Amino acid sequence: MLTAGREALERGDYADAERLFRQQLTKTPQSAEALSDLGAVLARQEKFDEAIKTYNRALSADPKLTGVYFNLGVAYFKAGRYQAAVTPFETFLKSQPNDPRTRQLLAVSFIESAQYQRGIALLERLSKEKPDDASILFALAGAHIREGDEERGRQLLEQLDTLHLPGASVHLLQGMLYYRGEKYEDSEKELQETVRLDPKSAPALAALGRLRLRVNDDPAAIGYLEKALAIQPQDSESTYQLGVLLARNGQEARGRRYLVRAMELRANYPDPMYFLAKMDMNENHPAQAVKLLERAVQLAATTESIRFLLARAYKQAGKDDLSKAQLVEFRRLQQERLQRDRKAMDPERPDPTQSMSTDKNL
Amino acid sequence: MKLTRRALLLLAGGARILRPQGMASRGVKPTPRGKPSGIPFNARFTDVAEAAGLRAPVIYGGVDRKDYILETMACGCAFIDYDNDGWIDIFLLGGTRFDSPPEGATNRLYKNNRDGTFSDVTDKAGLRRTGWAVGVCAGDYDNDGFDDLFITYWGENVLYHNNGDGTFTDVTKKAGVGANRTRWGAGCAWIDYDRDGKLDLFVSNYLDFDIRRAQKPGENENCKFKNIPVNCGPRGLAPGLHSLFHNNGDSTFTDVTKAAGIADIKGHYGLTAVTADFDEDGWPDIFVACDSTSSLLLMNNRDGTFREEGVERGAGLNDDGSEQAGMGAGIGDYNLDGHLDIFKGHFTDDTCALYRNDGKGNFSDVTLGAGLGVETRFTCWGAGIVDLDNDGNPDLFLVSGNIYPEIEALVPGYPYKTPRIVFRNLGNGKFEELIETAGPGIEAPHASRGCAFGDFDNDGDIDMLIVNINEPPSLLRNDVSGGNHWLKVLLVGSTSNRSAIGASVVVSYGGRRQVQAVSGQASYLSVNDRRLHYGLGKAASADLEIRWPNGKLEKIANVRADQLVVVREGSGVIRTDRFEKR
Repeated sequence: MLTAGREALERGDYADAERLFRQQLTKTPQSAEALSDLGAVLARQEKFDEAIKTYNRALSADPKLTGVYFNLGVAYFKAGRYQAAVTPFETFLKSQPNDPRTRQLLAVSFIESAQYQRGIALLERLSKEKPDDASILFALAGAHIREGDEERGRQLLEQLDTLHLPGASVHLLQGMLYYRGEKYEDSEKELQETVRLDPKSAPALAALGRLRLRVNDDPAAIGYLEKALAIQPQDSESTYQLGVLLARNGQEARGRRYLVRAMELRANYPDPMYFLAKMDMNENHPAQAVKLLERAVQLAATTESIRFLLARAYKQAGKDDLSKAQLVEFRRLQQERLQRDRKAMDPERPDPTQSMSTDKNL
Repeated sequence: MKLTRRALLLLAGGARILRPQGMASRGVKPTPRGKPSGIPFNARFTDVAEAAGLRAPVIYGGVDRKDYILETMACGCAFIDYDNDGWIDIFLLGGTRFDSPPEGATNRLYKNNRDGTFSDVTDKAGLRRTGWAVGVCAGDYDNDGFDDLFITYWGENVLYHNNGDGTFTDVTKKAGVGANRTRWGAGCAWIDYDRDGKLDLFVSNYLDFDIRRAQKPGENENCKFKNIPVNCGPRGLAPGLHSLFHNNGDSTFTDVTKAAGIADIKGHYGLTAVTADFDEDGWPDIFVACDSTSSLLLMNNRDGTFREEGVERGAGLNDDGSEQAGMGAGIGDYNLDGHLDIFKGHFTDDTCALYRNDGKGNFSDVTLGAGLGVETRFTCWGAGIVDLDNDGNPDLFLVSGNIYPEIEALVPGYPYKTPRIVFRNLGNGKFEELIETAGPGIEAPHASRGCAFGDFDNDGDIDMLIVNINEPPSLLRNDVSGGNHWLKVLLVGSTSNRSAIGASVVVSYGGRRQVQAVSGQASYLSVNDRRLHYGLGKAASADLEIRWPNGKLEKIANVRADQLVVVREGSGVIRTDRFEKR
């Protein structure tokens, strides 16, 4: 069954692969191999929360499966949980200390969780080993800029020019970097230059759309996203964003079509489901909203806003008990997040809500 | 060399994830603005603080940088008639600084001279005190005819008894409302939760903040804004726990926090506390605007206990289920349906929130539908649902100011000092933002915090007192034109508490019906003029329905407009004042 599952995974039939791996697990629930494979198929479907749980179960069953640490790190990384990705990547590197891909992912995880010095040190070493790797140079430049050393960041960007990348690529990368640093004017200049050099650059047009969206220029954002989608109609994120923009600018029916299309393009994309559900609730169609949100919650079980909206949709649909159950889960997620924040800020401090300190510190 | 798809993915990592920061903000962009209504706005605000004699700055932490969140939150203010002369006086809280308290760092009481000016009577009143004052609430806890003051501090809270002769006495210890240790008291509200005719006291606490353990700017993701190191929190810091004190009737209080179920409420950064009967069951409830955590709605169980239902009843979060940085809150009846709605201000890159009450204490977030999503630039604090132009439709008002003075030089678009915001009520459930067209007092930028609404010059409109950090306060005089009528109602309890806190008044005028409540605190940690003010539009008279704190209903028909009516519980109108120039 495992072999059949792997074949299904290979040919991209994720539903079949998932079914086969789960079937195997009913027979051998502690099979680390089956759990690892199931984690992989879940991750391919972008069900990262579920994949993380499954990988962790695989590691509990067999902590020596070093490859699973890498997969677990990637799942955390793709779910945007960069701090959590650090430990599995570090564990994997104990067995393969020189793996450049893991080192680079670990470096980016450090940077994304604001551990700039550790991320920069790792990237500097990687850059010495692979001086022509544009992605390393670029990540390093971004890290310096985010840490506040703009001068060094600019030097590294200039170094990118020496790599003889196609001109449009350099401007696109610089535009994206400025965008991430919230330097919108600089970003726009670079992205416009990209489009001048390569008028068919869908990523640049889509980025310009997002940029205009950031600065509240909805009509221009719509225009750029329409152009990007004319070139690259499979871009689910731009499709979703265009749907939202149209809906919020009075073109609800057209917006709805784009949101549905975004769901078709990426079956496991909770964002358009959430937005469509909100539209349904505003139009007093709670049953439709419930259907969408029940699907979305499967995909993003730990996303608080989806749980909250589902609770409201149940309530609107008269299903009070289901609404209460969702709120309980919502509150649990909220509390977990707050506790994580507190631990990150002051890990050694006991929880003062359990026993208050009595000292005076005025 | 060619860039691989994987390399691009690596570069784009986390682009859709909101970066953590200390204050809750959704990073939302404003909704598109509609065309201006073109309807004239007949209120105009001018800052007359200097001419009125309010020249002392409100000291609060560093001027150009603030290393700790304590320096940023500042404090409230009050319009209170402490000497019962019919002219509201001014009480301003103040803070201090860590290095050395500058001279003049104190709370201040200003007596209204009845000519547009005020005299500083702080020392004479015995109210000079230096510390990190935060919130204030005023109420006559001993029913002796004079409003007393409770002040929250980072440190120890203080209860001042009003002696009725222009002086106050610190009775904290005797009354049993001190904490005997450092806490960050924030919101406070007098509330007669058991309807025994005596005001009890609710206190919200913001953080359990220990300066010795506090992290420095930039040390953590919760200590950054736009990647620039700033003071940490509140996220990541330990939330405070809230307290309830029962009034024993002999000028002492008993801490009933645990017995009332308040001790079970954990994990909320509590700020402004507003008390009112939100579900209209005749018993007062408590709403606490919370920063970066869900706001609290404490429903009165009518047996001396409360249950927290903010999220369940729709007033705890916005309609995305997101926590917002709820600092201040105003209550009022924006849609004239006779139910008390809630208006709350929030952090920059987020909208404010307007919650419509269905009359049973269930709230809907109507922010976007009401047209309030157009403004997301400012961090908002003092808030009110108040009829600024007397047209009979309550407007929305906010004061604003950023919390990080360091960043304006580094990040364009985040100035430290920002204007005030008027959302004028268009009467159809929608609002229109006015900044430049509501007078120079509105568009002037300040780093503002507390705000109190009241009529300091007794001319029949709503003026504003505003705390500006490390600057003198603003006193915005409202000059209303257009000939609209108004009515003020001052309630005096007899079997209910004398301040009538917890009472509500429904005023019917010209086919419209508006409810207001006498609350223990409002806006941002502040106290409004206890005289309820109603704009009546073109109506020359109104009918009143008063629900007293003990649940009794009293009706008064055909009250003439353009006057103050003083109503004593059970005795009807005992006095009127047309505020004619003397």
